[in-house]
Amino acid sequence: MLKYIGFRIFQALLGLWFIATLVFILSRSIGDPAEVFTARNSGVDAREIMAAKLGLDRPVHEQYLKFLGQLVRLDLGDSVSNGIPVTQILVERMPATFTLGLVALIFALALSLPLGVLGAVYRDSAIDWIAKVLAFLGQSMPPFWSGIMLIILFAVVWEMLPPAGKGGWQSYILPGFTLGWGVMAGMVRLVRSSMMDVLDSDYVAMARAKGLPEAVVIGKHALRNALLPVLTYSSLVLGAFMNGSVVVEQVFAWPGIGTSAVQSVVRRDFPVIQGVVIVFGSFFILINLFVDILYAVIDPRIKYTP
Amino acid sequence: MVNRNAEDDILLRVEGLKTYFFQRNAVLKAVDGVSFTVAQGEAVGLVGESGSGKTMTCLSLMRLVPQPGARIVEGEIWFKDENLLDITEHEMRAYRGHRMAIIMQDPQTSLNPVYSIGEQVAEPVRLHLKERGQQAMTRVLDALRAVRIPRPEQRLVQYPHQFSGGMRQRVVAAMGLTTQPELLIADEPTTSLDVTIQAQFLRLIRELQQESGTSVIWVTHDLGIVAQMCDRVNVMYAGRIVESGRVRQIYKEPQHPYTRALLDSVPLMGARRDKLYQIEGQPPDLRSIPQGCPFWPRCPEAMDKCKEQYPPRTSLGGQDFVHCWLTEEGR
Amino acid sequence: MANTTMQTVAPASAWLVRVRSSLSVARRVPKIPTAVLLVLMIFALFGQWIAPHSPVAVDMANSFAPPVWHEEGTANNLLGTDKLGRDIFSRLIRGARVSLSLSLFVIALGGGVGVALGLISGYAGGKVDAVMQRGIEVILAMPTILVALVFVFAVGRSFESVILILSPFLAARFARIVRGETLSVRERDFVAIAKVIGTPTWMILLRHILPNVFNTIIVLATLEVGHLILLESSLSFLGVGVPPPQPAWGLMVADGREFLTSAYWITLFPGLCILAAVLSLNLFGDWLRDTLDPRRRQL
Repeated sequence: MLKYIGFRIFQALLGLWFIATLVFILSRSIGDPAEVFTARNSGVDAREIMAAKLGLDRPVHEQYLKFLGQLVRLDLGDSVSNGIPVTQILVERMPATFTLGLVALIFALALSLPLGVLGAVYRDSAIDWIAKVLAFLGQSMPPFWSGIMLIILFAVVWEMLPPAGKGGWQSYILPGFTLGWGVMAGMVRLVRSSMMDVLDSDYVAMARAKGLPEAVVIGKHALRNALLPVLTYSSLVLGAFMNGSVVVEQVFAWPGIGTSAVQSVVRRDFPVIQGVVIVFGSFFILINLFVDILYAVIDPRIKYTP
Repeated sequence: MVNRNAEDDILLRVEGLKTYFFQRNAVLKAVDGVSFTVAQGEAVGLVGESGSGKTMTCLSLMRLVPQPGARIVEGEIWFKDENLLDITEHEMRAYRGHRMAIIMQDPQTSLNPVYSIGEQVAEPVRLHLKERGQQAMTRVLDALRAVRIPRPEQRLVQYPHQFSGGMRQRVVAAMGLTTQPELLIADEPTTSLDVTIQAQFLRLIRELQQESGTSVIWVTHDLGIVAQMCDRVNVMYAGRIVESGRVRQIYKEPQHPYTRALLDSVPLMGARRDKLYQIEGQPPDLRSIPQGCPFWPRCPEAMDKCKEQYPPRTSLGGQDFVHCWLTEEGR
Repeated sequence: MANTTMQTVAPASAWLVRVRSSLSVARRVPKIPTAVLLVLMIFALFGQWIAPHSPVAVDMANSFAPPVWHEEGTANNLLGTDKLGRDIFSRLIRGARVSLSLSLFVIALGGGVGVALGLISGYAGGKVDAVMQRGIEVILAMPTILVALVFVFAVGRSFESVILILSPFLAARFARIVRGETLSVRERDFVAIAKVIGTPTWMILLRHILPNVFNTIIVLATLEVGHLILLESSLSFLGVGVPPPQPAWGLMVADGREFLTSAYWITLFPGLCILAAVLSLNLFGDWLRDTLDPRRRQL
């Protein structure tokens, strides 16, 4: 078990290094780096200072090591549009993105787990049908549009909730639901199909033959096994969350990292987008690491397999 | 023990059991009017080809037919003096895993991969015997010892994937036997085991049965196992019992052509035959069982009558009977 | 092998049976989704003759005209106009062409590459397979929209760059599924026979394996078109998709955001179009899967 965890941590570090390298290659390949890292209208002086800072007169491998060194010290440079250090921007904006993601995850789980499980247990019943309809709608609705429609209904027409921005807990409801809703669809289908497989298994029949009440059969014997494939797909779910959060933050003018990402593309602010990629990438790798360890805890069959 | 008559001895009496699968545009008659009895301490064989309704009969006894799809449509299942088809689901649960237990075909899949062996064997103990903690653990250990699992204290905390097929099947047996059930249903428990492991397992179950006096229903397609394990045998074909009798009697004088065919297809030790007999044709499609005796298309001795009407029950003395026009006409 | 011989000697009536069964399948086609998809295809193909106006013709005097069922609405602009007075209905029709053509390009490019990779990976097995699977997993795990943002930052915003950035993701999805199918088809007897008689590998892949995974590919392609329309519209909404003045649906939604309270129609209808298109594709794809490929419930 420890060996397994050690191996996964090593893999995660490798992944981080991979992302950093990718960003470095990108920064050197889209144009003159001195220009990429300075504001569009800045003078020759500013570009020369930047060239010195990036070590552009040195060979590439030294530039690369310098870049890694700055990264380790969490120095991601300054935004070219307002001069604020990128690290500071990210640290300010991260909590908003993560809390929104968490709220959305809770929405998604609270909807998809019961719907998926009940849909599988009561096949072809009303609840299965509702789950199917919700899954189809969730899969087919563009999240930016459903977010806007929610704003029209709840903020403009009924004036129940704030239309945009981050404020009290009410401000989390619409964006959280919009983000969770899109992710929910895939999860309902996944939970349902994996639960159906498990319910047909011999060990579930055996659990019934022991005389266990149906609630225990489902909750104890079936659910845990049904969640394993769901965990396997969690990296895809995470990807869906990241995609969604960029869009949803944009719709709700949410002061998170996703908004920074879109703004930095519009303003051609490379240091910021580089920082966003590194943050999302690291977060992605850490979550996957966590899920792998969780998997090993839930499934005793997992052993050290390189 | 005073004044025991045959009626008191009966543990299980199945009467006219019918379990059908309801498909989109067909009704599959998996069990179509099965009647048999199991006396206390008796081992009864349920024999037939795959698809003859053996497994579905067993699942019906536990009221665990696949849902949705299958339904017990008719019949009575008397366990001592209670009809299992009349009681509530809640009452039925008190039978399952307590008074009747089942061992399924495939030990690879009948244990839950994410719980330890100890936990799974302990479940029926906690549920039905209301024992907890140390007391329950002792009973689990006893059960594992009874099925001859070496080093039970260490294996208790291990998971199914750490056990071999034969050992897993022993765990399943232990799981069923901890609560000392009155009836054990063994649904082809040795089919997926190696021959040597199979022999060990059969011996083990027979010993346990003799010690505890549990009644056993052996489901199998292997008449060799029946000869070894059972007192009585019921031969099933297309969802019905076509012949029933004491093992010795049936082996000596099989009445139904199907029973004869089954016996002829068993390679017997010592008795060398020029070639093994093989039953021609396929078992019938249970969605459209032909009129008359369902075996007639494959029967070497089929008569015109066989195609028209299902043969009545012909008593062969005692509880033995056969459904065949040959025997019926012969008397 | 056995199968083909069986079919060649089958009596003529077998043909009749097949025609009849395909007719009965056709009768069970989900009617509404199929109709919606047909309408969209007609819009995409013959839009310029159907649309009452040019999708890009600016008419400032007629900006923010409401749909026809409002009091001030006119039949001239059935679904109203946007802030530049462009006809929403005509723009939606052109948007169908943008969305569908872009998706088809990506399916052709990414799907083609993905199918090829999946066939090779599944058939070769061993190290080749392991390496390719790792690569595919990495791509599948990447958040598409974020990667697209960076990509557009690097190469600029155009119809082609959207195709280029979406294709690898699609290729990875195709490769994963096709590989799984190939693995199982590879073990079938007719492949073994083909190998024994010395059929070259490329021929085995094309003649024996590809036809057997074809149903899966068709189902996957149908479902993926819907997925692509969603992704493309999200990118357009974020301002990194198809550049204006091309009326992409996602872009139209974004355009209308400022005027939600005064001119809801600018936002509502393109969104409904996306929803109708994607929902229809999903329903149709689901039906197709159940009909062609019932084993793949999880697709």
